Amino acid sequence: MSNSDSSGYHLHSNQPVEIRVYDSALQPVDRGVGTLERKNLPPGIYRVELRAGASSDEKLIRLEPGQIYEDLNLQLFFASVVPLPSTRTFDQQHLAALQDLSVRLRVPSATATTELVVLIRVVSAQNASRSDIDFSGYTIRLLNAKLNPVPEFSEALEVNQHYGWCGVSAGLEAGGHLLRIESTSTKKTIDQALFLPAGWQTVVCIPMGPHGPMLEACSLQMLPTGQGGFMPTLELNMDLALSLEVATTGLAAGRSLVPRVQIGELLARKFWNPMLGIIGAYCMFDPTTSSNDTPNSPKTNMVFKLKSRDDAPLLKEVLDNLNTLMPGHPDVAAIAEFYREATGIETRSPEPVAWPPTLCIGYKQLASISDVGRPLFEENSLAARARTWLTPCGPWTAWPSGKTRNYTILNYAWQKSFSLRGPKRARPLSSASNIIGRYVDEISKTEERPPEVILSQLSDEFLSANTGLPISTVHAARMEPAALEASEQLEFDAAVDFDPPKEESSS
Amino acid sequence: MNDFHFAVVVGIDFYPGIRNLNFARGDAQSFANWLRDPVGGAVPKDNVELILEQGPFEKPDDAKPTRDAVNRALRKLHSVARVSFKEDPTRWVNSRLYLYFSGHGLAPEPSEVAVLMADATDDILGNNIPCALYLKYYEKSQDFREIVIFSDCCRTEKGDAPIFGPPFTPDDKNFGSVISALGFAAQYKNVAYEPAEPDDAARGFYTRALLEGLAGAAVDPSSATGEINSTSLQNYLRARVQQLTQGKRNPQTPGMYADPAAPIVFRQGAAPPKYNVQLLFPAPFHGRVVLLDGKFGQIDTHIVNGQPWQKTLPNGLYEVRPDPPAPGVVFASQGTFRVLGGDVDVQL
Repeated sequence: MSNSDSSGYHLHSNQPVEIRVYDSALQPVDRGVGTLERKNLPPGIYRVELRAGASSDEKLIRLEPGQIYEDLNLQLFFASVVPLPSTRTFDQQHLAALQDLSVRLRVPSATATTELVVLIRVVSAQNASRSDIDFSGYTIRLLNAKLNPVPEFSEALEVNQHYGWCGVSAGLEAGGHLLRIESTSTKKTIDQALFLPAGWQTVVCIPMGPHGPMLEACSLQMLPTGQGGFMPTLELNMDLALSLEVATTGLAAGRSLVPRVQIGELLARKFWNPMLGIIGAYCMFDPTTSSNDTPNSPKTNMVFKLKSRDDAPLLKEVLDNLNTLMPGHPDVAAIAEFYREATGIETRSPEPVAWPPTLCIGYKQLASISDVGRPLFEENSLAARARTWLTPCGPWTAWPSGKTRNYTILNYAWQKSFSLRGPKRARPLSSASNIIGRYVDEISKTEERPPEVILSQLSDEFLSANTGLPISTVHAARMEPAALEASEQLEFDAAVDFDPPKEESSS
Repeated sequence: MNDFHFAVVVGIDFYPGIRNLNFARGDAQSFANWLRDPVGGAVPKDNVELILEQGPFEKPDDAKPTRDAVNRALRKLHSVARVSFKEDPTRWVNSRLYLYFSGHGLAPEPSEVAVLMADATDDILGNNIPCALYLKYYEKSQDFREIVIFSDCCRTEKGDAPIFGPPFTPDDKNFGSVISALGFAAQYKNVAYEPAEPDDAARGFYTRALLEGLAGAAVDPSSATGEINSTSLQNYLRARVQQLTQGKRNPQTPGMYADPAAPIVFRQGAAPPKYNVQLLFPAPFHGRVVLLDGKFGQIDTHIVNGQPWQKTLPNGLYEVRPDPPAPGVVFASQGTFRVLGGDVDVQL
């Protein structure tokens, strides 16, 4: 092939999409984010794949001999849980429902300082299938900061089976709330932590799946109260929604996937929708693993560093603005701690947080800093207690509802007795011993040899690799005299989550 | 037959503590059939441990298989291998272990695929087989020269689910470097903003594409011997599963951890299958067209007379052009189309 015959392409998207190119034999040719340029390719037909979060699209392109194919406006027609025009899952009925719920609160309150809108909808490109999923059998509850149900909230739920949505909206007292969706078919529910700041309406859109509402995939937006309800172009447009989808997908996995230019756009929109500012600020950090784990730390330490040191002044400004827009918001407190860790600069004197941040990455950050002697949680608050209850829920903070119920029942008694016996101390080493003991016990049963013989043959490195415990923790646990007699310590969550093996034969 | 190839195949439909599936056992049985087929995996019958759940069960505590069944099957096979390769180390060069799972799954971390056993519940997620951790054990122990794992399960994120490696003491040897491939049906925590299909409909796509690929559809186009290897299979699975789930409520993108520089060869002498393609032209168009392959090589010509043009074509990208070029005639997608894994009607 002479140079004059060779081809190439220049592909660009203003969206934060990953672009992949494949040749006609399915072989990958190229990949990148936002822009791809290539020369000296054989002429032919190529497949271009666009991907962001869970959304993808593709097109075939022709590279003619001696020509550079150019498409500088690649667009991903993606799925969005918020009913936004120009997305693959837009539904006019759902947008109308959301706007109506946003304007006409179903549970109004004369003393309300904040508002909440919850819309659960079938997010489907196929409108015909939206009425297939049954909405009966679900109850939405909202608990206030005192963990009491908000009166009339559940009863006000409006269900539109035909168009595949249900929703409710209310005027409320600002502060922490728990969103709980109960199903009649299963008793298992989770509580999702929300913080509703004064002067803002929080909009929660939740996709409805065949097994019920999928809180893990929900979307949180905010808009100023009294502006006339949710307007897609003002609070959120298609490109911002795509950045948000990529951002929340990344945050759920504990990392930032959004290019800096898109983070800038998220931050710029925080005055209209502060949730974009919160998520954009979290995305300014990249996690790195710290090697100096300690015996008291059951997991590897994660340290968050700014993507660029040049971002420090910008982040400081963002923090100041978010503090002004939403004073006392626990996510802003968490971002401030990220900032302090990354720069060594204190933005404010830390006030104890009583309610968990809405994003799990922030809650974990506050918890890990509290663990190293900088108390950030109000004593015996929900935030202080719920840190050990967390259950995966996408990027959001959530835990099994049973934990909240137990906390409510026990809280009074705990408070009464706290002053007499002091707080219970964590015993991570014994927990580690239990995990090691159970693993060794499983080997013992499989290989039919005594556990003490097996333990003596296993190195700390091997045990660490096969149990997920840091080597230093394994080493410290093996120093404990009764490391393998730990079965009575089932109180530790990490251990109760694993059943000992049972005897059986394979077929 | 490949006398030193071994396999453990697991399929679980009934999960009394989670939700039942419908096709996982069938998928596992189909994969076991391919393994035993002399023109498929050619694995001796006695070397295949097929573990199909035999439910339904009333309670999670009664449900089997558990980790124990899988671990015992693995131990049985690697014990046989250890004896055999100790006796004659030259056998090791031709050895391979297949692991296939079909059932519920999760991802405790981005690089892991943990398949839930039948006794798992929403509260006891530790009853799982973490494929990446098992792979690491066997890479180190060098019981087999090649390790192939296919895991047809979801990879929902469960960061706090405990994982435990295989319950075997280390038995590190020095036969040589191990080559591996770990294939999985979905990317890490691939949150779908559309409601999921019933699990089984989504789950079947991966094994369907896998069996198609191994049967011939994943032939390496650069191979003169009709080779199907881990690289060509990986490329085929990605494209085919994406195609099968496109527009579905829960689109899937499968993945595979494998070294392209050291591909595992599954088969030689496979002929790429051809599919029926019906080319439909816009009504006003009449005249001569040319059919080109993905490198603009001419395949055929045709005179369009109002009727569809029937062709049989292998997987690939193609283009139909008016010949000679006709100004003003624009075919849909500029006349380009794709054939992948099945018959297709193309509206030009």
